[in-house]
Amino acid sequence: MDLNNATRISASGLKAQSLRMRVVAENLANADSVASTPGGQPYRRKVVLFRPEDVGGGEGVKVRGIAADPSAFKRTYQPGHPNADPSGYLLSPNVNSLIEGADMKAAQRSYEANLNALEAARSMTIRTIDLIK
Amino acid sequence: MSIGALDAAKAYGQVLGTPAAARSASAAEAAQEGSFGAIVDMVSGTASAMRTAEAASARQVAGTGDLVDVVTAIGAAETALETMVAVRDRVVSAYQDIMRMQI
Repeated sequence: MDLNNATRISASGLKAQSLRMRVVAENLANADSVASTPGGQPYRRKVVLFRPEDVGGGEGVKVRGIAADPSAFKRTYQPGHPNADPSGYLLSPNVNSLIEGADMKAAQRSYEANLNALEAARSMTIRTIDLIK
Repeated sequence: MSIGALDAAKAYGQVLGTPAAARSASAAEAAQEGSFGAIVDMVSGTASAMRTAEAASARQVAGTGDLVDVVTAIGAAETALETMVAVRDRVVSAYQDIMRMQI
C-alpha cells in the first residue's frame, strides 16, 4: 500500500536526520578538542552525506557516509599550551559553532517535516478505515 | 460471501491446523471461494504485525533498538488492528442482519 510506503520513506528520513543530529552533536562536543600529541592534528569537523535509497516501494533517504571537512584548522599563538608546536602555535578544530547551530536547526526542521508527513499519511489511512465503520 | 457459523469454525480450524506455508495457499484458495478464510488470514496478519511491534519495543527497552522503528512498527500494528476490527464489525453486523431476516 502506498501509504505504508510513505510511512517507511518518512521513517528513513527520520533516521537520516537523527544521524545528522548525532554528527552535529559530535562536532559541537569536540569544538575544543585539541591534538593528543604536541604539534598533532586536532578534531576535524565531520559532515553527513545523504543519498536516495530504495526502501521497497519508493525512494527513501540513507546516509551515504560521514566525510571529514577538509577546511583549515584554526591556528592560535599559545606558547604556554602543552600541545603547542615548537614555534608556539596551537591548532584547534575547524568547527564553527554558528555553522553547527544552523546545521542543527536544519536537521531539526527536516525531522519535523518528516514527522508531519508521517502523521499525514497515518491520518489518511485512519480516515480511510473510518469509511467502513 | 458465505458467513455461516460452520464456515467460520472450519476456517479457524484450518488456520490453526495448517503450517504457515500451507496456510497462505489455503487462504488464497479460500479468498477465491469468497469464504471466511480470507478474514481469518487477515487476523493472523494483524497478530504478526503486533508481534513485530512488541519485539521492536522490547529491543528499545533493552537499549539495542531504534525509536523510529518502534514508532513505525506500533503504527503499522495499530493500522492493521483498526482495519481488522472495522472489517470484523462489518461482517458481524451483516451476519446479524441475515439472522434477523424473516423467513
